[in-house]
Amino acid sequence: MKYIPQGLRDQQELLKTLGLSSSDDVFSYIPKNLRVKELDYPPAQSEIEIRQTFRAIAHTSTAPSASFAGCGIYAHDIPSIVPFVQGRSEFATAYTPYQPEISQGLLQAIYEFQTLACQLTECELSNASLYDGATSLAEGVLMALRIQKKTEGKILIASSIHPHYLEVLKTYLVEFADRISFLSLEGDRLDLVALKKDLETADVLVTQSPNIFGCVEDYVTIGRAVKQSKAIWVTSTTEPLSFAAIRGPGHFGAHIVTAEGQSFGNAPYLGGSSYGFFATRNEYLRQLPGRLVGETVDQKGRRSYTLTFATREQFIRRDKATSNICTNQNLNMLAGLIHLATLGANGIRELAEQNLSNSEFAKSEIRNAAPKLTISKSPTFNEFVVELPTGVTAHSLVEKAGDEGWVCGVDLGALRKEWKHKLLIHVSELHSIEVIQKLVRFLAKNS
Amino acid sequence: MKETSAATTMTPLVDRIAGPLLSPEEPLLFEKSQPGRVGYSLPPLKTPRVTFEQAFGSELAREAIVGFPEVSENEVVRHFVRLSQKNYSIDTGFYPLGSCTMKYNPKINEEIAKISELSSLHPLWPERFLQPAFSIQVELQKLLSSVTGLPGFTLQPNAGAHGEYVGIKIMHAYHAAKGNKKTKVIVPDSAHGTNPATCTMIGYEIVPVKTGPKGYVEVEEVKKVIDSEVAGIMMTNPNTCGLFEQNIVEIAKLIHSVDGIFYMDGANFNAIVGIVKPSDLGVDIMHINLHKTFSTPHGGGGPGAGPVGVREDLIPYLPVPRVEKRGERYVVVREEAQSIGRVTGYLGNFSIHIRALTYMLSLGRERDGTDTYLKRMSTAAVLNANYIRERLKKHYHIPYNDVCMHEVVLSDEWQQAGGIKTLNIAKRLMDYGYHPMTVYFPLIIHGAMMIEPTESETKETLDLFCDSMIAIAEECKQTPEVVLNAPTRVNRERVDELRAQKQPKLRWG
Repeated sequence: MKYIPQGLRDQQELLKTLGLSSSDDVFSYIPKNLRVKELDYPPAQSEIEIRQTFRAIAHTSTAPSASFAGCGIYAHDIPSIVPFVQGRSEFATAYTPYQPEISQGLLQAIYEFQTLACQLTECELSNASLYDGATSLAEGVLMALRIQKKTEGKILIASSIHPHYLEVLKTYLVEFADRISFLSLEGDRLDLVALKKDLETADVLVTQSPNIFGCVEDYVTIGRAVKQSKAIWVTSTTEPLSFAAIRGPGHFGAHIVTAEGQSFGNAPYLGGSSYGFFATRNEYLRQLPGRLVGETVDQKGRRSYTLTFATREQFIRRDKATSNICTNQNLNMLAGLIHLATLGANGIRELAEQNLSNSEFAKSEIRNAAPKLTISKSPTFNEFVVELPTGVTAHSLVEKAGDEGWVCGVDLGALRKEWKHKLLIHVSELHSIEVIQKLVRFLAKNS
Repeated sequence: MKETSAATTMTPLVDRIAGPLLSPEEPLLFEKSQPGRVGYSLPPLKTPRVTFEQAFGSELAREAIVGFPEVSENEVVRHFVRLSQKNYSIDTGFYPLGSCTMKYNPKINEEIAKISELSSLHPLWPERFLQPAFSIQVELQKLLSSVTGLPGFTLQPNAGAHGEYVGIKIMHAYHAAKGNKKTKVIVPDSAHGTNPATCTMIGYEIVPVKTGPKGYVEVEEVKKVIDSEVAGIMMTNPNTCGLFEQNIVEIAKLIHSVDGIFYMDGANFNAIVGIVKPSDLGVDIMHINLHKTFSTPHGGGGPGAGPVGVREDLIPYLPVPRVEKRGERYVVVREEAQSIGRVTGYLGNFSIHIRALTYMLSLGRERDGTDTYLKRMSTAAVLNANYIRERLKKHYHIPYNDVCMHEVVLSDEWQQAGGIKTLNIAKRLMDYGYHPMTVYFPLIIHGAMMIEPTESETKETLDLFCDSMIAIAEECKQTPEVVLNAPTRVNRERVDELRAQKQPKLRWG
């Protein structure tokens, strides 16, 4: 076996040193009756066979010829240098940088990511990333509850957040279930009149923007309302590219800012692996979950980086830790960092503007060609809802496009039944005018 | 924008820019930035331009992001290649980090994971387009069931600790459904920190049990603390002392006698794959670290994956969504009445599942059909650890000097005379060209040094490592100052971790 260098001769030498006669003896501490007699397992495959196996699996479906699916996971251009650099052995096959003297590269990269994350979200402090957008939000709410230390106030959750995020929140907040209440909507955005009243009795406010309908929430007004309340405001964003177009939630006074990171540098991969942004204010440093890198010096006074404030973490604090988390989805974060580094100040703006412009173009073309369909006037970034007339479900359209070999959007009815007439359409820099026109013709014909 | 810290202005140019060859000083991305440099290319906009202000109004619309770098593509590449060179990795050399299973990460895993038909799959596409992903996930679950004997699996957890979270949630859901009043979980004092941290997250009280004189959890100790309010036990087997828990079957029976759940932390599964099925030990729930036992890269701290296996009657509690095979098609089941719910955004770390399945298929049954390469893998890992134990036992104190499993734990007891501690030995090991072992864990061994060689190493590598450890033991006696000042032959000498905390600087600018 090419991954196991120990041959028969090696084994005999090792056994001789150990004074044992057979390799089974090394398991003498495991009672014989507990040992596996027969394992139901397929034959080993060589590289040639592995390639054949997976190629055959990959071809059990035909890839769609075009896709307008977003809803939390977004296909974007990935510069060729991203996988090239990210895949380097020195990054990929290292462990967590617990030994700073021989891990400066990774530590510096994390430090750079923390900085970029702060700049994007307009926050003071960022960790090295968490698992994904949904779990980041859940950790954010748990942190908000730690800050509040109260046991009675409401956890106000916007009804416009991604249902998957809500489900994860409910899993993580099961012991606080009786404190959860939902903020009502006015159309496809939060009801700001109701919000002001609800905030009076809230410990935690949870919002998402752009929301599940792609709409940008009015963080100016929400921020003002929060400032007059005692609530800790936790925000979530599924499309981090929107930070390039819309001011970061930190600017409006959000206390904890979380976001999915996949859009930067990571292919969709069925939604994993990706990474989650997690940023906040300096004053909450000791409540922060996850890893953190800080600048320092070495014995010779050279600038160096190291993991820091580990006293929050499970391997030091055990049952008193801020979270059980001990990973930062490092390679996914690294892909995001490399992507952001290539985009830079101008690239990220131009990319965001192309997303916005293409998406607005699609909206106006659909409005013109299919007057029976409704598209809300609320501001959106690169994703919007097409409201279908009674009698036409989003499911039926998605299936119909599927029969033609492409994906016309996400059927929101699959996420929540009452949304069965809502088709969520994502348009990015990757969509050509021709492909957008195909979508427009399809919608005009089927409505 | 340029920033020069006080520490660097006094340094001669040669030290500031060069450092040892192949380990150059590298400025921060932000310090390399020059206005007007471009690292990206986009086609011209073909649709009518819409500005942020037009779309969102002046209060919401963003101006240029303050501080964002402007760097050309070749400079970005050079920057990150240089950073990469400042990291020790498995592909660089031996990485005997105990309890982390730093084995070789096969390159075919990476090649397969990069197949574009797999990487481009969107989780919310119609199921007809997702059949390849679902079949990979179902196949992986099947093989994990084979090696653990646990019939139900979820692949959703994104990491080992996330797996623990899911496992203990399932434990909690089981008791809630049965109306059991359960308040606490037994956790041995040798456990990883994630175990107690996880139980706390779910609201359980921790009941610690002391490890016995020989390094095992003793039945008598468990008997002392067990009562009807015990929800279960979390045990790592082989344990963090590197030993196969001798009383595990009896302890499992004891836990079951109060309708408790036996949770096995699979962090150390690499020692016993194909040798023991955890279900035969009485294990009810177990998580597996695909990034340890099944060779997916650690990535400098993720992404990993922590699938959780459960016994038959616990299957209804597994998280949703679940992927199932119905006839010839794979479908996603989104709701299940007794499920603990959703624990991650979509369907887990699929990119990691592909790599793990590639590995598990590569290490299948040998040509003559008798054994699997998985069994050879575990056997070699255990033999290697015992070889190290045998070679070092006269030079380092080994608190539990018994035939060990895949790792051996030493202590600094015999080296303390000159003021030397475990940390000094670990740092000195860097000067010999190795990543240090895990230090100060398990907590129950004073000055612990935990060494896990894995099956990936040759005898020559092990010998050279042992020679180095013996040489360091000798240095501790003859020239303790050399050990106390280590490391001196690496990219950085002792990094001041205390200062990082006292004068926090957690971002540039």
